Amino acid sequence: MEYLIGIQGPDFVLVAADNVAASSIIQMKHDYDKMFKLSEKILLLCVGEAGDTVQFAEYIQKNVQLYKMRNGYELSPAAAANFTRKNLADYLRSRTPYHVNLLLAGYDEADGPGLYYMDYLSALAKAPFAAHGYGAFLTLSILDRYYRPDLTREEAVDLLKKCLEELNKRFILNLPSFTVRLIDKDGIHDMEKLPVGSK
Amino acid sequence: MFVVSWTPLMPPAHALTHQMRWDTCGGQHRSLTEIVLFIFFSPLGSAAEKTECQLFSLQLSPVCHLISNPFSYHTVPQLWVLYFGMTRASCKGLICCPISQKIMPIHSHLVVNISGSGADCMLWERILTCEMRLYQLRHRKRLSVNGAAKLLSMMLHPFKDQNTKNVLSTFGGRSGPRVCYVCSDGLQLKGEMISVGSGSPYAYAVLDDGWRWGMTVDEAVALAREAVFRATHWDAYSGNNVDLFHITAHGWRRRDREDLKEEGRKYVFINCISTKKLNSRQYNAFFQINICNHRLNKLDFP
Repeated sequence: MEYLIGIQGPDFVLVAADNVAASSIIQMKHDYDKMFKLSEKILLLCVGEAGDTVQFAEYIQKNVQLYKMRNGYELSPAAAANFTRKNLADYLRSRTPYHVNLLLAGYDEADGPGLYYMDYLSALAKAPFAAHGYGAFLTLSILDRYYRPDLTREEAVDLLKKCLEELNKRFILNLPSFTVRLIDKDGIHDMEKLPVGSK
Repeated sequence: MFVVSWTPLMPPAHALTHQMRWDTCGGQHRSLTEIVLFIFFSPLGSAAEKTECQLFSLQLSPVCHLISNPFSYHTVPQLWVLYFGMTRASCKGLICCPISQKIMPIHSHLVVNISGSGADCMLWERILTCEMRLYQLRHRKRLSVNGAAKLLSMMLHPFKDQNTKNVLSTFGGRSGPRVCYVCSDGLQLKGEMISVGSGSPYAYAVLDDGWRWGMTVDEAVALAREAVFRATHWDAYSGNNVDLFHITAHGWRRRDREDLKEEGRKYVFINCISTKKLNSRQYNAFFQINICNHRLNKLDFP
């Protein structure tokens, strides 16, 4: 139902998430933001079960900010990803596991851009491109085919548009618009909502 | 799902408002009056005839709707939220109470609309009222609606398997009008127009058609009545009267319950092009369904 996608370039990470907040068969909101800003250069994209997403993502968000307050510097994306994974793993075998699928995208001064794929079973993998949701079945091959490690920003956006076209064509559900953000050394940049012209 | 083309052909809401008695919330400024509109829907003719039409119903309880309009072009720009819902409480196929109150004011600027399991919803209303009052006493200011929604969401989190859907609406001092949807499964949304409950798909269809940024209160009330009417028509778990609350910076106002049963029967199957009332033959042709003649004769058409 929900769709997340991330593409890592040489010095940026491009992420997109759909904007639909659904409750059974009804789209309750068309402009719902599924991205949570963990720090100036880290974004957490979170989909999954209804309440778990916000609860878990905000928990991680507040803890990352707490770390910054206590220690004076921010967590790196790798550290934040591993912290998130540890929390998911701890809750996995408790009475209240969180059923959330995550993409964590960030830019580190030392390591450069990073995209981390996380599962509800607390799997963690650093990947050049990743997608979550049913839409991933349709778009991972496109990413496979056209991805290069030295993509420019425009090429990455074109690749993203190709993926979204494929979704529009073949995915049974209607996902009218997507929030797109780009993370680079200057922080998080909001990009135009895709498809262009959608409300 | 059955889709009916329609135009709002009910008499304009303002014609009815003058006949209404206005109640206002206690102890607050009262320059704006509340609008509570009750529509009593009864099946066409007797109850048996209604089963000719397909009824789609979900397993939840009645419908509640909200419209929020932060700006009105035609009058003095004022911020308001219109809250409307109906009053049927059902229990496994029986109507427990046709006049229950589902919209509950928490305080002068916060109103809660409930759907789902009635007992759970009422409990959480009371708990929320307590917590809001405690917050107000401790911090000397009212909790914002986002804060109230967050609080309710956190309180509901351990009880995820309950079937409770609450919708909060308030008018905050600096934040303006807000509509929040809080569900027991954890979904929390802020929006401009939210409808919950079993009849909500039918209501959404009508509301999406007519809602726009910058409606006047009268337009919104007319739209609200139409939406609830359509929903109560198609949904088995929705019906009886309709409540309408109007929340502005001065607090909430409610309107007396009103019986729109006669209007409903006249206008329900109206042709979208024609503005005339249909006689039974036109009704039959419009719907293209076969109704036995003897049943048709029993239907009381004007």
